[in-house]
Formats: sequence, C-alpha cells, structure tokens
Amino acid sequence: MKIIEKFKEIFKYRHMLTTLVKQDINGRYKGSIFGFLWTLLNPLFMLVIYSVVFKFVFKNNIEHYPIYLFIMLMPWNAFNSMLMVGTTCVSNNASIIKKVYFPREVLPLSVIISYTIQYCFSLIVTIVAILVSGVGLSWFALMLPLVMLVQVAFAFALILVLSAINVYVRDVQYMMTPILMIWMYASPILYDISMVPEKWQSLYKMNPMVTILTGYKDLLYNKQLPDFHSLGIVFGISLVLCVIGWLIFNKLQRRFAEEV
Amino acid sequence: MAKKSNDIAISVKNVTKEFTVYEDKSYFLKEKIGHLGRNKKRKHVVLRDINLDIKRGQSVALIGVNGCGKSTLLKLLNQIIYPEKGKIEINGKVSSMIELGAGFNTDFTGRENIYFNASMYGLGKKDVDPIIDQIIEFSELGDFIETPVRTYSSGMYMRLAFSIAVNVQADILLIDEILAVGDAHFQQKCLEKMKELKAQGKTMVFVSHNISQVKSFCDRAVWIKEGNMVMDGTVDDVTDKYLKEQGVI
Ligand SMILES: Nc1ncnc2c1ncn2[C@@H]1O[C@H](COP(=O)(O)OP(=O)(O)OP(=O)(O)O)[C@@H](O)[C@H]1O
Ligand SMILES: [Mg+2]
Repeated sequence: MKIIEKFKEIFKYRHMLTTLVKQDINGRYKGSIFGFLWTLLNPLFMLVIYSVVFKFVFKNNIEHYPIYLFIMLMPWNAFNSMLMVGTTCVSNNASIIKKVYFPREVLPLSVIISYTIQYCFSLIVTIVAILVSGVGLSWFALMLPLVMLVQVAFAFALILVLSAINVYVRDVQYMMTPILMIWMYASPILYDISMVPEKWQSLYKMNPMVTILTGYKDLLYNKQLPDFHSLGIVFGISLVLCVIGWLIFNKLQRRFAEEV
Repeated sequence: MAKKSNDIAISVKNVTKEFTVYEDKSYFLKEKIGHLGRNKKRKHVVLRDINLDIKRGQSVALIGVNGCGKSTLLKLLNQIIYPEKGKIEINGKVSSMIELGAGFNTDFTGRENIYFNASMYGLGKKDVDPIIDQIIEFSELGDFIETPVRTYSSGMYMRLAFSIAVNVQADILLIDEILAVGDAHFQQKCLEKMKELKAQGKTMVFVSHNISQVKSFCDRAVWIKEGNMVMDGTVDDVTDKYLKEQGVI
C-alpha cells in the first residue's frame, strides 16, 4: 500500500524528474565544445585502447573482437556510470534536500533515466558499428529493450541502497571505483565466458552481470534467442532487490536532511 | 470526525524533535569506528511535546529567541525532517521559503530556476508558461532573470524565491524570516501579497523577528521558548508578553 502511495507521489513530481533529467543531460557537458559528442567519444576511445591491448598484446581468438568489445563494453559503461553517479546522487544534492520537500526517490530515478537515455544513444552507435563492420544485425536486436530492462532494474536496486548509505558513510562512494573495476574483470567483457575454467563456471555465473551481458551477446553477436530462463531469474531477483532497496532507502531518507 | 479534520490545515500532535550532536561529525568509517565507545554524541532536544492545530485560513506567527526551534518546527511541517515522537498531518499543498535560495541550481539562470523550482511544487512547463511573466514581474529582477543565480545578491535570491512560492497556487505557505533580507520596498510588497493570499483563504505560518510585521499580518501567535510552546493566543497578547520578557518594552 505504501508503495502505491509512493508511486502516486512520484507521479505528482514527474515534472521535477523531467527537469532534473534535462538539466543533467544539458548540463553534463555545458561549456565543452563537443558537448554531447564527448559521451560518445569517451567510450570509443576506451574501445580502441582495449581492442589494441587485448587483441595484439594479450592475444585472444575472439572473432570480430572490436565488435565483441563494443557490444559488451557499452552496457558495462552504462552500468558503471549509473552506479558511480547514482551512489552520490543524494549526498551531492544536499542543497535541495535541506531546503525543499520532494520525494527523495526522484534523485536516484533521475540518474537511472538520464543514463538510460545516454545508453540508448550509445546503443545506436553500437548498432551502426555492427552494420558498418559487416558483422550484420538480426531481428533479435529488437529484443534489446528486454535485456536493458533487466539491467536497469538491477542497477536501480543497487543505487537505492548505495545512495542512501553513502549519506551516512561516505566511504561507499570511494569504494565504488575498485569494486566496479573488480566487477568488470569478473564479467565477460574483455574476454569470452568460455575462457573461464570449467570448475569456476557455476560460481562465475552467480554474477548477475554475466547473465545480462550474455543476453546482449546473444542478441547482437551470436544472433540467437537469449537465455530467457536466466534473464527471468535475474529480473525477478532485481525486482525483489528493488523492493528491499526501497524499504532501506525509505527508512534512511528520514534523516537525509540532517545528515547530508 | 472527518468534517472536523477537514478545516484543520496543520495538525501537530505531541511532537518531539531531537538532534544528535556529534562533537566531531564524521562521514567516514575509520572515524566512525574510532569514535565508537567514546561517547562523542549526545542528544539535543530541540522541540518538546508540541501540540498545535492550525485552521484553514489562519495566519500564525512563530516567535521566540534565536535557536529556540522555530525553523526546526517549520522544517518538520514541511517534511524536510521528521520528528522522533508524535505526528504531523498536513491537509493541502504546501509551498515554503525556509532557507534562502530554496533549491536553486546556482549554475542556471533565474528563468531556468523558475521552471526547476516550480517543478518541485508539481508544476510542469505548461503550468509555468502562463504565469512566468507574472513571477518575473513580481520579482522586479528585470534582465537579471537571464543570468545565473550564483551572481545574485541575497535580496535578489529572496525576491525570486518569494515570487515563485506565492505564485504556485499552494494552500499552505511556510515562511521563515527570509523577508528580512529584502529592501523596504520589497518587504512592503511581500506583506501586501501575503495579505492578499490571506484574504484568499490561504493558511500561513510565518516566522519573523519583526514584531510589527507580525502584528500587522497574523491573527495568532505561538511563542516557543527553549523548545517548549509557552504561549499560544492572539497576536497582541503573545507578542506583548514576549517583548516584556525580552525587556524590550
Ligand atoms: N541539523 C542540526 N543538528 C543539530 N542541531 C541543530 C540542527 N539544526 C538546528 N539545531 C539546533 O536546534 C536549535 C533550534 O534551531 P532553529 O534553527 O530551529 O532555531 P530558530 O528558532 O529558527 O532560531 P533563529 O531565530 O536564529 O532562526 C538550535 O539550538 C540549533 O543549534
Ligand atoms: Mg530560524
């Protein structure tokens, strides 16, 4: 019941949400010459470096490696930014939290929406790259929104908890960089999942990002149906985590204005 | 019962608010762990067992010396902070001016901030477009409306915040002494506007150290002393007692 009330209230504050998202997207590169282009150039730059290093220095035999990287790195980058920015979204908005009332959930929601929009742009770039490289696209790409939904739900659950705890213990925001770095290497981004030794596979697959990234790989790289069973489990877990995360957030938000 | 609660705009029941005061506030685990055991925090009761019912259309002043808990009470009414004990019920849409520059994004222009601020009151672009000229005109900010608000003076901040707060069609207005930074002309204008809103039946809670302003505008005054409500009555009675105790008259 409380959750329904909350949804109603957030709906009332939808204009604040859209304003925050617009401010974020317009403001992110305000004053930089290339503006929005940077959001695309940065991952491209990263991509070039990784493809050179991992193709030629640490030789691997993944076919169309740069495209493989493209497909896996873009969703990871989106996830990475969502978590990094999401963690500080409450503590960095002390000025409005102390002075005005609004449902605090608007802040993590705005991060999710804003970075999902940006992610859609990078997906367009990915698809263009896939087409240009000759790897080719299949109709399975139309299922991308499903995998994105799973990813966004998972990220939102984490952000709710992280952003709320970070208000009280600022260590969280500094711990995110190393954690995400380890997490990235524990996910099939630079290498293929088949390179993980057999005996570690079941443990390895406990990482929800493995399922999500494999979903992208199935749709765009292998051009086949994704593993709906695993994706469904991760989605279910994410939804449960969203509810738990919201309960934690809701409990901790009572003292936000005093603590930030 | 339902009918009775309907003409109550604000109901405060047995509200107690305490702040935890840390001798040195730490945000980091290392310090938090270091402080464990050593009793470095204490509870500071800022408001004690407050009971207050405000009827729709009433204008109530909160008076008391610096640090007695007036702003804390306003923040509680605005749900920016929550009480440790007791219950607060608000019937109606609230607009507030609790601190200067309420939720402005200082890198954005005055005009952009009007949209942002109004969005926090639930107004979208479509709702703001018809009233934006009215807001800008009221603020008398002229061309400054197109410059980032970080370049504003305190008075200009207040002008913008006030102009927005009184134009968003709220039922309840919470105003915390910020009028004090306005010049004589604008303070007068604000007071006129508040009287106009009062005539329209809006409920107002007003914190001010300017007793003549309070007298000219409020029907009722509540005196808070060290977190206790010591007197609640007509504005003349309460302000007289208060000023006498202060040794001003
Ligand atoms: N975040 C906080 N943490 C700890 N103590 C606080 C906090 N905010 C306020 N206080 C304390 O609460 C008390 C009441 O503060 P409040 O701001 O409500 O006073 P006030 O009546 O508005 O005073 P003034 O007339 O100066 O505006 C003060 O003693 C203050 O030190
Ligand atoms: Mg005050």
